[in-house]
Amino acid sequence: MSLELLSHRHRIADEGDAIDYCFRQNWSDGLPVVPPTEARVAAMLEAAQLAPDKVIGFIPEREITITAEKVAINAVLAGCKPEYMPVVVAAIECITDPAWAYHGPSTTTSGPAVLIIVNGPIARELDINSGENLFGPGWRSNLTIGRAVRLVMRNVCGSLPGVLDRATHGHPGKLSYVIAENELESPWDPLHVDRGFKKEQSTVTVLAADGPRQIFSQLAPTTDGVLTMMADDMRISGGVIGQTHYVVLLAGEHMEMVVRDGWTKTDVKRYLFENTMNTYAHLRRTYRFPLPLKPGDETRIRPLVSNEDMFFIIPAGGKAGAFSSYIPGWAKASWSRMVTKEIVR
Amino acid sequence: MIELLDPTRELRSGHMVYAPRPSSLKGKTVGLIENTKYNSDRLLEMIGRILVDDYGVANTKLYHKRYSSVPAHEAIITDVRQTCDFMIAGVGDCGSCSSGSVLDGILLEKEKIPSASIITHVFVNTGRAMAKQWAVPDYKFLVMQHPIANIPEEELLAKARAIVPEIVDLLLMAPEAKAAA
Amino acid sequence: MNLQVVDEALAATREGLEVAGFSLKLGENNGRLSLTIGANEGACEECLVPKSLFLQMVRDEMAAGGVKVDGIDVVYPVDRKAE
Repeated sequence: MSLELLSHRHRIADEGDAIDYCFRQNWSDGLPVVPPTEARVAAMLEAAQLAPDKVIGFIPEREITITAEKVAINAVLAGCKPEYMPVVVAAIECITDPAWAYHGPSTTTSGPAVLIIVNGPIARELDINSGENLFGPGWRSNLTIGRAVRLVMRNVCGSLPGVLDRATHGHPGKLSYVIAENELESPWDPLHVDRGFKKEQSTVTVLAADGPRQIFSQLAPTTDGVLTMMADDMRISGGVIGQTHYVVLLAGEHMEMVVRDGWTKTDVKRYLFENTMNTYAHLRRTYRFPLPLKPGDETRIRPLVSNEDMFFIIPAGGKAGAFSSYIPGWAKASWSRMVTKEIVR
Repeated sequence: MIELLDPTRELRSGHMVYAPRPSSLKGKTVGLIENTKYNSDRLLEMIGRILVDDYGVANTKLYHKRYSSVPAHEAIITDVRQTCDFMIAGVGDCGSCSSGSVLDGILLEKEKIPSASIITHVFVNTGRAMAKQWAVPDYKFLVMQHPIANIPEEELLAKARAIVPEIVDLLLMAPEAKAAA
Repeated sequence: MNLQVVDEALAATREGLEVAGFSLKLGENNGRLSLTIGANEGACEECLVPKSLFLQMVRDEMAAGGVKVDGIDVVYPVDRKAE
């Protein structure tokens, strides 16, 4: 196993200029980065027990090999602590999995971000936020892990804005979009167990996804009331292209209701599936489907998703506030699939 | 001085794409980037003088790098890009300064300024390795006999005269164009 | 590993180092080639290229000389000072 770091070295005469140098070299996502010295990179690799030349991922359409060394350098840039490295590595393995199909989601004008959901004991060990301010600022682990993944995409895979990343708007999740599931306060099996892993394993799940849409359900006293409002919002969120994944994030007050009313995950999924149907007429009139109207369109029904298992119900978010969110996945589920991989330590 | 590791995917092989070249040096401005090594400034000044006297160059501008082993800093590159038509960098007579001068040439060509980098013969392998690291293994730099540091004025002038034709050649015609011709 | 053959292949590197006031010592360590660079008095340590560049040069020269070595460890003067 070769421990030698093979990356090209840039000599900076004035250490104080290092951050600006990184900006000038176009290595940054727009925010200052941590200058990647050999010592910092070596610490990152050591924490994950990885040889620098270990191949983490390969993107065939671009013939790009991503080595552990390059992941480590970008993790340093992002401001990760060395102990975050195994999570970043697992996320890179996910986005280079053929099922995620890197080229589509990273290039498209619809600009999805990489939603990263962390499960298992590692979330608590690394203090990855699953509660209040779920998508917001304040947690080094959430923000730097997501940022590291984006920096690899930009610096190693060439997904640069205007070049190979043509998002018309994109959304803020493209800086970083990492959450953990609130497993401790959930009556259900967590996401990774649903996806075939053991509870004591730690995993990363990625999904090409739009920004979160929040619902405010102060007047709904029961679970089905909350879900009725959510379904009403979701029903018209569907894009023109296809049936995709939907991640549903139920925060504190709503999860209390769910537990009190005794709903299972399947109950929630089924309710949402049944209440997010649209007629073809509606889809055509709102230019989601092509005109003209065809006979029978007023009664012909199209479900939002291909089946109820395309709703992924995840307890997460703060305890106070009658808010929950849902996140539509990108385009069509078959174009880029949700991928889950174990975090290896 | 610190070293940063490159976070980008490094292409191990490519071809140098040279800046487009004008057909003549007459009336043009030549930037001379000297790398602080002893006699580099004298040598470049001599080369500049010959270009003015014999090749019709209008004027020359001498720039001093702060550190020889790193590329010319931003202010120099910007000024050369904005005010010069050609650039000559040198003279690399040690390991790291030769790689620094080669890099100056590569970077200025990327900025669309026809350039010529000069290093001394014992550091050809260093210059070549630097070009490879920047994925342009075929980048052409010019070589003069080592040493230049402790030689008398007449010898320095002789070296300058000897290398000027090669410099003019490289500034007016890119190697790939030559190969095609 | 035949150090004599390696030494011949690295003649250009040795010359470049000596001209700048450095020495090059070849050794073998558990099947790996070790290159130790020493600084003579007055040698300019800034004149040493970054290790990654040095390794590139050494590999190119050995390839040109038809010499194959699996692992190469480079020790710079500054590494020994830290001990």
